[in-house]
Amino acid sequence: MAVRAATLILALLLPIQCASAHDFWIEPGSYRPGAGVALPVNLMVGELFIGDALPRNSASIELFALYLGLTAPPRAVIGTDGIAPAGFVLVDDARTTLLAFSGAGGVTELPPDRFTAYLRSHGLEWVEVERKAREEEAKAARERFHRHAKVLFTATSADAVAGRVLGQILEIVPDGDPTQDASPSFSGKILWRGEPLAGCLILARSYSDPLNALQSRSDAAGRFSLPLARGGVWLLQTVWMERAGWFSGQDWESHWSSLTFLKPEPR
Amino acid sequence: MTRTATGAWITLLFSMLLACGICPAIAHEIGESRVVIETGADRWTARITTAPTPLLNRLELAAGQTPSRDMNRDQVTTLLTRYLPNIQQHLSVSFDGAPAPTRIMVEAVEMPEDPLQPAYVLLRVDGALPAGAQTMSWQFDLLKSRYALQLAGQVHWLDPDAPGTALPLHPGPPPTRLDIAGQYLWLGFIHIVPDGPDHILFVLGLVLLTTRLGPLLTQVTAFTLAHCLTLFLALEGVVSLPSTVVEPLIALSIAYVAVENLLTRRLTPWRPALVFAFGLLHGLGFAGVLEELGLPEDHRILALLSFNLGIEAGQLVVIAAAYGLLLHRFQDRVWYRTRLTAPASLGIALTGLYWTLERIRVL
Repeated sequence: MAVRAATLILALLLPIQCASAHDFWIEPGSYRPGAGVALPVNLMVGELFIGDALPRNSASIELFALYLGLTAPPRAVIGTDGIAPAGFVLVDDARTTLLAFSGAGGVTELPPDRFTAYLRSHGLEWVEVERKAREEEAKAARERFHRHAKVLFTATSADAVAGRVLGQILEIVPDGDPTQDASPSFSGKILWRGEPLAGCLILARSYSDPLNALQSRSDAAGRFSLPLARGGVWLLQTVWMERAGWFSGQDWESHWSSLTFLKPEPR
Repeated sequence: MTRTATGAWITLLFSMLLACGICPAIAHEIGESRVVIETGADRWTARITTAPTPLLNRLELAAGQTPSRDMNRDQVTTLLTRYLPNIQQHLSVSFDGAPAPTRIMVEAVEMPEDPLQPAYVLLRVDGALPAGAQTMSWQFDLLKSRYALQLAGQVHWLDPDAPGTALPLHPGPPPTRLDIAGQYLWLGFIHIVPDGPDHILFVLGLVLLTTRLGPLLTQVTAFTLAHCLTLFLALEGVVSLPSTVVEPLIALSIAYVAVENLLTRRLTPWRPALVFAFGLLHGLGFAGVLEELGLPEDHRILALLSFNLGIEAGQLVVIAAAYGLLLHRFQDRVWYRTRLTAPASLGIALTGLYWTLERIRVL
């Protein structure tokens, strides 16, 4: 019994210890779908803007809805459990539309060296400092991760919905409507529980050149800007953490937020 | 039970759940890819089904190429053929720890023009099966989401970036009724102790009102009957409430019993009815957990009853511990209420209120 149990520990715990959370974003069948088209919407997990589509899992969904305008109530995104794409939507082609997702990710446990590398690559050096202060730097880190993502659908005209604050725990909010902004830059703010978040690293990747990421840090007002010089599909992503609660079985709670949109070619 | 023994038990349970086709929510999100491995007398064959575009894009990036997007079937087939040796480098197979050579080929590519239809590639990998091999290790790190691997009648959930783990080629018999009953009994128990601090505080709130057996039994019985009822009804799909409603109400129920402990010294006529109502809510909470874990199709009732028994056992342990370690020693002291019941109830009430606010996201 003991041998069997030990074998199973080895067999089952190793994958958990070595897994780490990846980026998460929404990838629709088209970023400019036109009216009346049933559009598949994929929830993607991966790296470098190359992802695997996740089947819908209703139990993990907290928010999966389409937003039209600043005040209209959201429309739930329909879909079938266990199947990718995770949802289907009909999008208005008159004005920009916003689709958002928030939901549970999973838990992971990383050895200290990999956790430290992950913190540094995502601009979370302060977590490293806190782990050191807690004398945890040599210990494996247990983390529960949560997912938040938005996508903007391009339409004929811009709409203020692009900057609508949805109340996601970690949220990227653009200034104006980037789907209609041909200037070679992007600016916005990062909100953490509805408040501006300072010192947060944000990365931007172009769909056509995902290896070369641009990056920026949010200032004291949570604001950031990025020189998005080319048109095409862009992915903005950021991660923030907080210490897990006293009763939690984890050490850290991380929140991953992303925004995908189609930027017009700069004029 | 020692820490090691506890860990071994939990691991054993999870492995049995996996054997039942139940996947606990751990590590990576589950993607669409899957691997089916068949073994013959002297050969094995694996079929990998996955989305072609991300597979190729990862290979292209690794080779310093710009990722190809919006490909048709012919383009995918051409690229896959070109990158087959690279795919093989991301594949690691061994038997009983000894690496095994593999052969890989493209068996099918589907790139439908209709975006509502899934695109996929079917890769066939095969090789020789060493005589007498007991375990097979498999790793394929070109995927980025958790995937299912089917081997010898069992489903294993693998994380692509994790080292290959030894999977049995000749698994033992499926779990017996006794195994399943034991698994779910334990799951129910650990859902209370130590995983259910909210349920623990609620039960402590019941105990703190009075140590007299009659009122205590009345409350515990009302609570138990109620949560058994809703647990069963929720799992049968008769009743349903979203967790966003249930969880704050559970926290509020904790605060209520504790506040009432501060206001009264005896069992009020309405308290059993309220405890029954709160038990209905806690039952919905238990049902949420059990829905996440899943129930074996062939033994639903057995698993449900065992889980419930585990919950009862957990509650009894909490009551026995509180009573045996603390309450019975001091229940006759004049300061029992002022120095023990009142501060403890106040602490529970504040915790319950905090959780209520937290769960409705006011904080």
